[in-house]
Amino acid sequence: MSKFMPFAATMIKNLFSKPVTTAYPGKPAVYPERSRGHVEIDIAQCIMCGLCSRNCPPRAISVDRASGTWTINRFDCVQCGYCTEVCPKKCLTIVPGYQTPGAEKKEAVYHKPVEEKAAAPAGGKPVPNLEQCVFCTLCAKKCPQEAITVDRTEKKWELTAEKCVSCGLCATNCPKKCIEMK
Amino acid sequence: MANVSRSPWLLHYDGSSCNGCDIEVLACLTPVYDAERFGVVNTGNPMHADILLITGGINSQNAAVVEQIYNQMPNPKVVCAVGTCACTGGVFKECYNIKGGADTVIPVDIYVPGCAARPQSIIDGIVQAVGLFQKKHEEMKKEKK
Repeated sequence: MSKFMPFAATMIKNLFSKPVTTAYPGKPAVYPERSRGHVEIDIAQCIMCGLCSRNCPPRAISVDRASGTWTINRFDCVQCGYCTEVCPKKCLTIVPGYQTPGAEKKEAVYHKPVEEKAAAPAGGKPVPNLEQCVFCTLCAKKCPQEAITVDRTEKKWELTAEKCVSCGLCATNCPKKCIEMK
Repeated sequence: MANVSRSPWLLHYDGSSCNGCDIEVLACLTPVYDAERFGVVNTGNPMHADILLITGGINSQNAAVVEQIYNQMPNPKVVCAVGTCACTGGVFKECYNIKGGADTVIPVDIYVPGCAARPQSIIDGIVQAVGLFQKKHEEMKKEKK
């Protein structure tokens, strides 16, 4: 058999086995659970700090604090997931599923609900315990809005309340844990 | 013969891509994803090609090449930008030598996003490109009459 028709076994196997070609687009694609597809935002949780847009490698995200809009150009996003890592509120997630190709590079715009904005206490503003503070300036460096100014020589800690977005990054990054969100 | 639709030929050009999208395009032409199911045939000659798959951004060295390839393709033609770099320039868009996406030098019909573009996205793009090519082909036939 092996000498007479060497390919016969493979031929018979191929006749009765399934095709190797995937059925897509006839059948929908199945993506693995943790595959990096696209970025989703829980806009109600967003505090518009703009850290995602400043850290986005291709500059695909833009945040407008005044009008309360979060915009992503999905044709520009490289699904690196860095925005989800830097988001202080963890309201960004990477979920499976891809942007479908199109003739236009459309941007996806998300509006922050207005009533949420008025009602949200937003976690309060940072208040330091100056007796424990070592004036290391880490809080000022980590602040996305540059709302904190720390003078090491004068031992001064100041907060510009209008700039503060209550993200809590100063409190989480304080090595002495002397900042409280009140 | 009037009702026979043409089988578009596909040309793949690698601009200044990192090779990620190129490998995905090649994967699409292998038996596992098999884009040739949709009637396209891969070619290496722009003068035979109807659909241009372009990957990677446009830099000052390849801008003239891309333009020449586009001009050598017979009408009607469809350009499909594969990958985020070919769409907008992606992470390289602020580099000193990068002009941006493929649409900075030639008109792009279909944008396929992704870094790298998934084979499923590329298949979607090719299906759209084949549809658009048939439409353009029929329009051109009407104009000739």
